[in-house]
Amino acid sequence: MTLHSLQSWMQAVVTHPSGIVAGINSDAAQAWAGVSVENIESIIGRSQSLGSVERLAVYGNAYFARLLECLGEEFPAVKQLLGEDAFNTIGFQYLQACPSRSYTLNELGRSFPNFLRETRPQDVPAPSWPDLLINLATVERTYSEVFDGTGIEPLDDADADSSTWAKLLAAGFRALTPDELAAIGPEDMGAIQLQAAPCLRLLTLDFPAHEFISALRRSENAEVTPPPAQPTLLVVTRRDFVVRRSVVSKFEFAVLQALLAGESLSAALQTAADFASDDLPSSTNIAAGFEGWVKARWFIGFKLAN
Amino acid sequence: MTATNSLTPRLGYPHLGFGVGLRATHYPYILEHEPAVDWFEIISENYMDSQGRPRYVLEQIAERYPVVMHGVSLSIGSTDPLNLEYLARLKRLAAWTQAVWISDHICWTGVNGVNGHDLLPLPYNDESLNHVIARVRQVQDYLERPLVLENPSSYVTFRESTMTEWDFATSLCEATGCGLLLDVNNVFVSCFNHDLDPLEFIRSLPHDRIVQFHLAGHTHCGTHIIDTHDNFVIDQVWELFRLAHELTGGVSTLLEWDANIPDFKTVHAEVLKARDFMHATPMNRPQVTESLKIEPQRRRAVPQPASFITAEAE
Ligand SMILES: [Fe+2]
Repeated sequence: MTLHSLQSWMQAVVTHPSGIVAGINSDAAQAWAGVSVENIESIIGRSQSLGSVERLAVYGNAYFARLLECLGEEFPAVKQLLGEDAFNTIGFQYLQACPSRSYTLNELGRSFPNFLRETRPQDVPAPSWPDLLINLATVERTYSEVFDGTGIEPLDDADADSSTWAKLLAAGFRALTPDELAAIGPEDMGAIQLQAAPCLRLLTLDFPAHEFISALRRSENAEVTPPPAQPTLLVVTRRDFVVRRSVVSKFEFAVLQALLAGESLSAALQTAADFASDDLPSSTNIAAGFEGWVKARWFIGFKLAN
Repeated sequence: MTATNSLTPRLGYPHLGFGVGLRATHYPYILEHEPAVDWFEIISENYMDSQGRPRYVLEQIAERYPVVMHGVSLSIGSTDPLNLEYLARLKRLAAWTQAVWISDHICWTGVNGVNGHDLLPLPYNDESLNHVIARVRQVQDYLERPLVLENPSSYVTFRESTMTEWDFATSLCEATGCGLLLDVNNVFVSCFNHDLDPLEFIRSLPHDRIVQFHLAGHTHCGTHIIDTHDNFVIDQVWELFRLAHELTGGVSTLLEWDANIPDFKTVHAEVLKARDFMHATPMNRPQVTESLKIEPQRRRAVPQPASFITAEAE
């Protein structure tokens, strides 16, 4: 047997969801090595105290257990809401549908929110518990990506050309600070285009999932009552290496979306006013809100649109 | 890269002393107290893509301590092509951490595009040896430095094997000039699981190629042992360590603790026990290690070579 056949066979056997014997008999394993359970010792030797199948089972038992453990660490709120058994059942299905294909475990949970969306039970009306699960998974995954992804804190970047600030300057933006903002003349204000922090994410949720997640962390995983449904517009970002989140109004959310799409400030305000005419703040509130966004480093660069 | 030069022990790498595997749970303690640990080993995959807190913490640690990079996803034994993007990131990480060396395992972690995040054993024969030799050369050429490879804990043996694990490792070193990371606990675990003699294993290795030792705890399941890194080092492993120390003349020594991780001081104190065992004779050997006093937490024994760093959110 070639090394490639042996590895392909062993992987098919130890990752089989129904265990080693089913793995040995599976079409995939049989295609690589046509060996039966009875003849397994022609591939895997036994030890004095364990048979070949039991020895393979050490790898088999560990495969899903290890990855479920990782998934549970990334999605503690989903796990808490489902309970360990149900979480492991869903996670087990997910890992079969989306096995790790990356060198890093950071990728393992990437498709989990989407998997929950696609497998949502059709007969349960929305928004209800499946949607809360999907929301929790979405927020927890966003936290992971924002926590370890590109941010605005200074790092000794060996590859300085790819740093956030280098990219900003290369795209013709100037750094935006509260002082810079104050120095922009009122006549230019509407024409500015903004560069968001690379870690800024906008999430549309059916539940205040972030509150459940925070409550769970504070209670150190004791029982926390799940929140009732409530449309929630969440901004997630990172400052000082910690993930931050804020709830915004429908109007603010629309402004943020338009700014992220590259609209000038005045165009974004107009877009948002058309979209959220039932939710218009006063112009002083708009100005104060915008200043707050700059202070919170949601936007880090600006240029005059022309 | 030339063949083994037996005149230069440890490939010429320094003896860094007694180090500890860096784990996220110890970040706050290390940053606040700057403990007097000799060096840190990092899991390469936890930092190679990070643009957040793990990387920021590592920047500070790399300024204060020697850092060695230890990977779990190189998959040097796999028949899948080497992942060049992975190697590029590994090299970049080594550059900015000024990693003293880069290690991984004599194993494969998956095939046909899948990563099982486990350290799977190879059959030890000419085909696998030639395969690994070619890949080690490719990696060393790319990284522009010798690789250091660790003996994994294993739970199966293959009928296709025609040589021992130690002969395989020896031939690999001779052909590629790579170094060895001798995990003393893994020797104990694998030898128990395969009815082999751990003393013969350690005596048969090319001692001048051993750059580093690993020490760790494990879970004994009666019929077999699982490499869980969740406890103190047992006395029999300390005995093997003493032998390995004698045969190598002493090399950088590191303690791995990956599950049920105690506070930093406990982990650090555990690796410092190595100093007591280095020169111990049967007459004056340290009495009872704590592994005999502490009952391991009853959890499912799962080897978890890679770890996931959880996000910190307000
Ligand atoms: Fe190890």
